[in-house]
Amino acid sequence: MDHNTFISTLAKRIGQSSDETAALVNALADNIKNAASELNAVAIPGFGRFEAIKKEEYVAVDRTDGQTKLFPPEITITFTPGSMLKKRLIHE
Amino acid sequence: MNETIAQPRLVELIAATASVDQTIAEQFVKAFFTHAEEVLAQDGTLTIEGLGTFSRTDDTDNPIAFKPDEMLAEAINQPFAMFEPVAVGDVSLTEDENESSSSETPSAEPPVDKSPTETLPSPQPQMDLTNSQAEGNENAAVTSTPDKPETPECTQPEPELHTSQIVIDEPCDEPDYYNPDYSPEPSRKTNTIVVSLIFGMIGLIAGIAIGYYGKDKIHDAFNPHDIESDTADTIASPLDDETGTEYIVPAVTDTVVALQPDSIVKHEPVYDTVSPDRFLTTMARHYYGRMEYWVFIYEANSDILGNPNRIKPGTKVVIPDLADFSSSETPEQTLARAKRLGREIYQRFE
Repeated sequence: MDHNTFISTLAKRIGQSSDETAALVNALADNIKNAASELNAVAIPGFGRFEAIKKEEYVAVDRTDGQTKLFPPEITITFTPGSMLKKRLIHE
Repeated sequence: MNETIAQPRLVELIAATASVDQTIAEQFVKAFFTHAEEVLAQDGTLTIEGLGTFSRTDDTDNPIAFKPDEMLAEAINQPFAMFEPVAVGDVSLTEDENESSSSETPSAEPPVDKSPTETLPSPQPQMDLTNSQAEGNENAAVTSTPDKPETPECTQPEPELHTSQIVIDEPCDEPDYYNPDYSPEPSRKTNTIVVSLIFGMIGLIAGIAIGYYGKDKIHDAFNPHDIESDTADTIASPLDDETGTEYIVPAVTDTVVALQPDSIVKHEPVYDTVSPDRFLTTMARHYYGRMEYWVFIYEANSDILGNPNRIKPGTKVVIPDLADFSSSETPEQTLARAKRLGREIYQRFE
């Protein structure tokens, strides 16, 4: 499901307009981004956990050119599904 | 940092960000994630702009794969966004993957090259290392690129490495403490001390030997009177050697030495000449050891001598043998008689 479809269905679900729902979705994404930027995690019970992980610099061989390179540190955001979501997805 | 924002807190933040009532924000958050769960269960994928794409996988441990939105990933990685991968050159690293030695098929993980449309590698940076670890080579240090291995000046080889790129060109100058056969050479200081002790012992032994065997001479050197008495004895018997034609006259001594007439050997008469600095008394001291014995020289030459105080220089006199004047006397008696005779001679010319 794409973004627009999700917004419209969600808007109907909460009784809000699409624009308001889109604004709320944007607020949600912004707050998750802000939390991840500060290396904080956001935990949603039953759904999962958004967590920022800092990957330290490392040396590896770049497969594209075969050179040994030093890759800089990196902060990435990961999602870990909750147990209820896992259970539902596995069984369905 | 390292905090976990729970749902109530998230609701507050959304309400503040969207400027909506907290009740509405709470309702929205619950509906959002419930609906997302339903979509994932039905469709298997969900894309939310500004957040990312959720896709269902067959992995039971992780049934959902999440790919963050590009803008979200860039915003989160903004502190390190200016850094780029840098080629490290010819350094063999133990942490590197063995790119060329890996004989397995390439892993399913995406390549390291960061293309704009491709996702970043998984959170396990040493993805190739896992392959090498699977091979059992945890210390793989060889890469395909380095041509000039690092050669430290003085290090010991690491026995655990199985690479040929770490080469020791020169022998280590430091002491090989790991070699059980190593024995340090004795220092110069120790040798100097040993040599000094040896020479000291030799000197001590030599000193003891000199002191033992030369003690008589040392004693004589510090006791000159005994030497003079010996000399006087020698003078007392000047003719012991039977070949001597001269008297052995003591230098200065008051000792009256007794003559030994039996040992006296007849010899030819001795002559001397009176001079301005050589009188009868001088001759007597020279030949007899006592100036008082001048009277015996005068008596032996009385026919040519007159007043003893007016003897002309150049007068040749004979020096008699003292034994002729003191054959049966003690030295004290001879001295007394010489003094008495001298007074008699002076009385002749008064």
